[in-house]
Amino acid sequence: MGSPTESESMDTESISTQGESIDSPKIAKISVWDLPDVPQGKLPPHLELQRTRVMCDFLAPTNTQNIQYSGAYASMGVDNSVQFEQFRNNFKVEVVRLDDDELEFDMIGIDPSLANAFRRILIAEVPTVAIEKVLIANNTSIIQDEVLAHRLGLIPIKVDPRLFEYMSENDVPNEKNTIVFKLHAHCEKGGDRLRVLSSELKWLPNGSEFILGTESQASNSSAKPKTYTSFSCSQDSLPEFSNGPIAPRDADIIIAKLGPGQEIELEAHAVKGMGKTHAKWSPVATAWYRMLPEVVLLRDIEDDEAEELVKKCPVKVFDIEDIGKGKKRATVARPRACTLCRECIREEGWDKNVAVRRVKDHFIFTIESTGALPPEVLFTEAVKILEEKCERVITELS
Amino acid sequence: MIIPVRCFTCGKVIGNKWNQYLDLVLASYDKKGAEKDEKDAEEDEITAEAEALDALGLVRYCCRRMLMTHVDLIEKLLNYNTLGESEGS
Amino acid sequence: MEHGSFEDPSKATFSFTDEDHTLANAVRFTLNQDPRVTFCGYSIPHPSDARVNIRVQTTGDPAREVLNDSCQDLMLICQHVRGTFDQAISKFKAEKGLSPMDIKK
Repeated sequence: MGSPTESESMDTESISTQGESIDSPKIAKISVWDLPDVPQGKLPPHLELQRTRVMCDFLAPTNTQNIQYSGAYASMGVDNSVQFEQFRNNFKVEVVRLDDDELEFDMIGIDPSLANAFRRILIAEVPTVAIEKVLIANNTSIIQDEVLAHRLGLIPIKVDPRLFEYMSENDVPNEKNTIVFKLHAHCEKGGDRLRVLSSELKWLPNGSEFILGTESQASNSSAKPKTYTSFSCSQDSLPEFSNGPIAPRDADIIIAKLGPGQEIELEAHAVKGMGKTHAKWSPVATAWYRMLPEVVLLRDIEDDEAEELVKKCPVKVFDIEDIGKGKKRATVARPRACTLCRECIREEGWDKNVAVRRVKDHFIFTIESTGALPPEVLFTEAVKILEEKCERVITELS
Repeated sequence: MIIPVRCFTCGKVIGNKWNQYLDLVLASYDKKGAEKDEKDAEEDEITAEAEALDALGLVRYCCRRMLMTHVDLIEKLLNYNTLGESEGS
Repeated sequence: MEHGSFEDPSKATFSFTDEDHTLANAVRFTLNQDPRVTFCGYSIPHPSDARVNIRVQTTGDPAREVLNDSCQDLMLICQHVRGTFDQAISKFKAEKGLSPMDIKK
C-alpha cells in the first residue's frame, strides 16, 4: 500500500467516504493506522480521489495518470477491471448544445484512451469529398495555378461521402468516385475588379467537358468524344442526388480576385479521401475534449473573503449567497466555466481554501463540423470506424 | 496575399469572413471615433477588431490571428495589371 | 501478424499494419482491464511506417485469444457508446422540438 501522504486535499463533498474517522474535511492527513484493516470492497477516500481526479495544484497538476491495470488495487481487495456490465451502467451521454455545425456533449464514464480514439478518428479517418484534381484551361489571374488549385481543394463540399467510393490510383474517374465542377470567371476590360466566389463552382453531373487531347477528333465523329472522366450516366439521374445540386457548403468563400481583362477557366475534380492524407478531407474544423473541471471549497468562505474570492476568478466561477444575519458565503456556481488558470489558489494560503480538480472520466466533447455532414452523424461514423478496426483485427487473428 | 480559405491551425473556414470583418471593423471605428472625443480611451476597452471577431464567431485565437494579421496584398498587386489597359489608354 | 513461440502461447507480440495509436491505445486499455493479462503494451517502431506492435503476456491463456476477447470487448463498448449517443441526440432534438434524427442516415 502506498503511503497516504497527499491526502490534504481530500474532502467529503465530492467523494463519498465510508470511514467514521475521516468524514471531517478539516483532517489534513490520515495515518495509515487509521485505515480499516479489512478491505471493504472500496478504496480509501484519498486513493479514490487520486484514482478519479486530477489535482490542479499550484505548482503543477498531479495524479494525471490513469490507473489502467486491472490488478492495481488487488492488495486492497478492490477489482480495478472494468466489466462490460459495469461500463454499461455507468456510461452516460448528455447533449449540451447542438446546431447545424457544432455539437457539444458530455461523455461520462469512459476512459480517455477511448475518448481520444474517437477524437483522432474524427479528425483523421472519417472520409469526406474534396477537390483533388484541377484541370486549368486558362488562368491569367495573378493567383498562380498551384495556389488556386490548393485554395479550391480547401473549400468544403456539401455532399454525403458515404454515397461515393474511394478512387485508387488505377481507377478511371466515373460517376461513383468523382464529382466534377466547372469554374469560368472573366473580368470585363475597363470594368471593376471581380471577386470570384465559391458559388461560381458549377456542378457538372455529366462529368468532364474537356476533351482528351490524345483523341483524334476525326476518327469517329459520331461517338461521344472522350473526356477526362468516363461517366456511364448522369449523376443527377441517381436518386441519391435528386434533392438539389451538389455545391460548396459556403457560397461566399473568396477563391480569387480578378483585375480587368483577367480570366479563369478550369475544371475541378473532387474525390473521396481521409484527413490523414490531407487536412482538406478532415470533416471537422477540430474536434476536442476537456475533462470536467471541479472546484471545491475546502472550508466555508465568508464575507470579505468571499468577496475577494469572487474577484479573483477571471471567468466568474464563484458566486455569493446570503446565509442570513447579514452573512455572505461563497459558492461554486459555474464550475464548467473554469479554465483551471489557478488564479484562485495563487495567493499564499488559498490552496487550503479552494481545490481545483478535473474529473478523469467526464469529457466535455466538442465537434465542429466543416459542413459535409452534421456533427452528430460524424460522431456515429467515427464510432463505427473504430468498430471496423476491431473487426479487422479479429478477422486477422482468426 | 489573399485571405486563406481555412485557418492554418484548426481548419475552420475563414475565406468567407474577410469582407464582413472589414465592414464590421470600419463600422466600429466610425462609431468609436465619434465617442473618442468625449472620453479618453479606457484601458479595458474592447477594441473594434475584437468586437468584429466575436461577431463573426471566431472564438479560438488561431482563427482570430488569421484575420487580424492578414494583409490583403492582392488589392495592391492588382494595380499592376497589364491586361486591363484597354487600347485607348 | 503474430510473433511468439510455439512452446509458450501465453506471450506474443502482434504486429498490425495501417494502424496507429488510435487502435493500439484503445486495445491496450481493454487488454489492461482483463484480469488474465499480466503485461501489455504497444510500440510504434518507426514513425514513418504505418505499423504498430502490441505485446501481450497472460497468466496462462493463449495471448491470441485474450487479444481477440479484448477486441470483442472494445466492439461491444463502441456499440454501446453509439447506442447511448444516438439516444441522447434524439432526446435532445425531441426536447428542442425537432424531428428525431434519422439514425440510419
